[in-house]
Amino acid sequence: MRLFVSKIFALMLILSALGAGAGQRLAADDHASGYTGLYDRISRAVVGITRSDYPRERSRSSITHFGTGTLLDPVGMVLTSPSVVPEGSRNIDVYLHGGRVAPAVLIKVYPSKEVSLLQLKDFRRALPPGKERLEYLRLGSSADLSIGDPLFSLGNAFRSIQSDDQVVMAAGVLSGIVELKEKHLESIYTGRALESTAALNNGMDGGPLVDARGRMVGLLILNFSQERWLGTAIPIDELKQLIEPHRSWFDDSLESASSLAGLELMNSHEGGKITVLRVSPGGAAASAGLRRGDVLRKFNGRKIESVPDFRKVFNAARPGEQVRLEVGRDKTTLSIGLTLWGRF
Amino acid sequence: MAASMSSTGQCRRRLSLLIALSFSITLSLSSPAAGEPGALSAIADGLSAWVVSVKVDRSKDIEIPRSRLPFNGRVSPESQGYFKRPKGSVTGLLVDRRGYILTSNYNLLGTISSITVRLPSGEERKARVVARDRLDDLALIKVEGDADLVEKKSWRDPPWAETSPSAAGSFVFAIGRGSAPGRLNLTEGIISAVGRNSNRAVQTDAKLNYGNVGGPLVDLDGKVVGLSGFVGHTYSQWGLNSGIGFATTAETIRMVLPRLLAGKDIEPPPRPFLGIQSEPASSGNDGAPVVAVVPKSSAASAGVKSKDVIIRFNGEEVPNFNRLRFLIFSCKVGDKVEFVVRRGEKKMTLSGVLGKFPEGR
Amino acid sequence: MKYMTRRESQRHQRSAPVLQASLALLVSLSFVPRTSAETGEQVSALRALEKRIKGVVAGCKPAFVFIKGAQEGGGYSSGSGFCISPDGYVLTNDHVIVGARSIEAYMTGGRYFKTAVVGRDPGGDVALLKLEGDGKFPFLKLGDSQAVRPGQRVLALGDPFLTGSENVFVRGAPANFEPAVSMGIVSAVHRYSETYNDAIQVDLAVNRGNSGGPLITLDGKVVGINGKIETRFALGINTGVGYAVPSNQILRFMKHLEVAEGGTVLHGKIEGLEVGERADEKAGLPVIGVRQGSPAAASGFKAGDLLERLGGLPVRTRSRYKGILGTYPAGDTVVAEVLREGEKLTLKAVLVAGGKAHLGLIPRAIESDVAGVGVGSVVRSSPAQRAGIKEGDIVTMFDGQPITSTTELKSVMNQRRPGDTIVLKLSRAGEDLELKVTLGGK
Repeated sequence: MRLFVSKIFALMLILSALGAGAGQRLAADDHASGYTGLYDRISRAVVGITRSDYPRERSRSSITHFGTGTLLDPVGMVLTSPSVVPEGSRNIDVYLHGGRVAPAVLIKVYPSKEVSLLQLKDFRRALPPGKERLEYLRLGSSADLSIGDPLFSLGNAFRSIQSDDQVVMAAGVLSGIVELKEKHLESIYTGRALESTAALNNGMDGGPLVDARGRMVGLLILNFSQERWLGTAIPIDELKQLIEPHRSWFDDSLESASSLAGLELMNSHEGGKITVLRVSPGGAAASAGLRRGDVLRKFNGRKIESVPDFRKVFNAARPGEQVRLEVGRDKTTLSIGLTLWGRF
Repeated sequence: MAASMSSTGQCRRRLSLLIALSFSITLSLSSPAAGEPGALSAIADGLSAWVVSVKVDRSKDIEIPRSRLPFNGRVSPESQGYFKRPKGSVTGLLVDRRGYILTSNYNLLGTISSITVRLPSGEERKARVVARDRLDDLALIKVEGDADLVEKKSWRDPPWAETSPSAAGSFVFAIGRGSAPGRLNLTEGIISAVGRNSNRAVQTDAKLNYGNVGGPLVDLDGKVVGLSGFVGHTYSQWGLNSGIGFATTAETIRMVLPRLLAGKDIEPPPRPFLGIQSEPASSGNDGAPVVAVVPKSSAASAGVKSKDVIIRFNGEEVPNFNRLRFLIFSCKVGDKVEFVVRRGEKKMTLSGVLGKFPEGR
Repeated sequence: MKYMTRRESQRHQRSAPVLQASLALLVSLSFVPRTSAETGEQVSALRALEKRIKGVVAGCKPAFVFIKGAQEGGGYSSGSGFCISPDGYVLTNDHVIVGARSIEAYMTGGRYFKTAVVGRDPGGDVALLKLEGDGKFPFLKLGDSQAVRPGQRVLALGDPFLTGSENVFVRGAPANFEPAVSMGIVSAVHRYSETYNDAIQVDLAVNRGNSGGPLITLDGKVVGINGKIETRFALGINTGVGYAVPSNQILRFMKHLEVAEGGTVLHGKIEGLEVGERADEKAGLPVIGVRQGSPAAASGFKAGDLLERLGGLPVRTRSRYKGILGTYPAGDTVVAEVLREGEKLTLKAVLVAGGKAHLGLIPRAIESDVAGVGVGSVVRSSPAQRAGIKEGDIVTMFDGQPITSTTELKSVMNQRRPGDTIVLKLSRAGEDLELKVTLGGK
């Protein structure tokens, strides 16, 4: 057993060394192909968004605004900005890769930080054939950026996603960190902002500014002014604490790094129900009899109202501990005892 | 797989601890440490000691002639705002330990009420204009107060490039410094073309935005290739951030700086004159045919005759009059020049000294 | 209580040092300063890229052409172009030379060449010119635009704001005739608009004066002609969105352009086919109508068919359908793959000129004994002008049919197709003359 473990260990060592190298190698790409690899990896996580203030018709003439959004998890949470989807919006359509269009609901708007959070009503409608989950962008760290770092803007420039199923990407570098003191055009954000030379154009608002590793480091806003002609992005670090409480996906399936139960949950944002998305075969949740579709109500007697809620109590539980879940299934309520796996 | 305690459990726990510890070290290895500068940031930092932020207050700004504006200025009132000079600070480069700073002359046009320089140390000083070079869009200012800025460290000249770029395609970075807190900024691009402004400037597609004009254009070696400028609408219609930018080369700056430091403006040099009349370029590529020789000109003294065809000038091929004019224009009044003419069947090498372009031509 | 067997305990002895060594290595590695190694690696990667770019630029610059079209009434329309063969064929945008009565061409360094228009494709905004020269022109090769992908590095050569062909620093001073190079990436492909049906979108700096210039990959191949940009607040300068005509479209038109004798080549369409706006989840753009007796019917299309591929490319929207067809000239055949009741079929459609027949004359009432339609003015570069029709002429017959009013002229024109050749009888200063006109498309 120990030899096995040390072999795994040596393997981890090698992999991490490679990983460390690869992280840097992403910036120094193959010359002729440029950033095609990066584009292939992340473009499917960028979506076009339209909203219509008129009763739902799929016709283009009712669209009152178009813009861009970023998928933040595999089950359809989308980050965009109020210039695209303001408070009170209905008839929100999200355009995904391959021409798929899926409706979304507005979860929350933070106007002064230019954040609008959406959730796809049914992410399964938006899945490409053969896939079970959507591609999404991970959040990077805007504090770690220095000037000259390669940055990429992506989005629905001049309706490229709606009309041609093309996510536009432009390349540049972080040009500077600036302090915005007054509003510009439609944007009311003031505070620290990222200025980059990656082109920013009509329709890209709400979209991501991405680093060389493919992580979102800024939220694009169209706030051009004479001095800030290039446009700026809100640093992602300013927005993380606004996003986290609304996270709608919890992944403790066997594929994740440190699984304890073999369980995947999501908040559909309809009636605030936390439902079981997947139960990994052979996992602790499966053995306990949890099933896909179960609605999670209580954890160890405590009412669960959001995914971050659940994450908090789940992470506080001790490995090997037996916990009690109250779930709703069909029209009944069940009490399920689940023994968490031990961590190493 | 239920966790169970056995006598090997203790060893297992120690093992688990070791693995957990090393796992976390592994993870920290594969993610970048916070705030690690990249290559370009390092290049910018390398210039930091010389890059200053310049704030110009003026009571009246220059008027831009309509003919120099996009669409002759016929755009919406909102768009008109983009033709006015933005209010922010611009950039300059410290070139002398006594506090002399080079910047774009465009930055110092209009009726100036005060100039405030923010040095790399964060210190702010007032400054005044010393001399201007309109041909190269350069202006020299000097901070007021103590003559010597450098206290403990020894002064070094900015890392000027030794030669001008000879070809397009190399990377260059336009560096600027913002107002308080005085962070550096950087835009990236390539040398788009060399030999502009009669071989005194290069063209780049690095975005020149308002704040970085007057700052250094730097190559991958961290050498200053030139000083960015020529965005003022007095020179162009293209505006800022279009991807068309210019920088007067280090070579040119080396040439004009001594005079500027002496407080003397650089006037555009007198235009050189050879003294021939020729046909327009569209007549062919066999050389510049001489239609007439201006009496008492350099060409006349050199022995050029009508019907001669000038085929080489100072070692360069002359396909037509366009090219000949350009080659002459790149020289100075008083330069000794050598050229080859075809006269009938013969080829002859002639030489002369370039005169001055006559007024009113 | 369980004791380890001897074997187990031996294994344990052996693996412990391995573990400790790995741990020590790992811990020590975390202290290795990575900064200088990383930035050094980045700089050398940039240097290698720089070398490659300089090489491509040096190789392509000699083939660059500055194009100036002398316009009626003075002035020039200026732009860029590039040589594509040793005998001097040059590609540029049609809008650079439209309306020019003569064209001047200069290559890098200022060498002048007389230039003639060989063929024009106004629908695709492409024109083919030919330089008069010694047959040893440096030239660029056209690459495969279908292989171009977003994120790919590209270069453009051009004369933005005449920075190369004029001296923008000192008025009247001579220029150095060096084109400007800009670099960026492909932002998107297959972008559709009315004017550019299948454009490559790029973020590199292209501005007025870049039109007609080459879009080049780092392999030195031309994959497009830069011709259009979006601008912000009507300020007329690039903001990072430029569009290029793709090389594969140009290649399809080349054989027609080469023999056009200065005339226009028309784009093709599948006459009589009506398609839906979007394919739904199942693949295939629905064919919603096929006109009886039309070329579409003759090619075998039926209403209800699901169009899956056109010209070998997948098609899911009407704009992509128009986009693919927009890259084909009239007269070419395009292969369509359709799904009909579960069966896959391959159809061949011969493309005919789309749009309405266009003559290019503006009528005006003219005092005369002769009955007919008076010509008030003739549109520059139109079929009428090329045929020799002049202001003041009176059109009396159209292919043998007498014409007495503009209504009659309109009616006979409506029955004609772009590309048709007709014979017009005119009265000019009392004399009759007959002119052959090849109708254009609009």
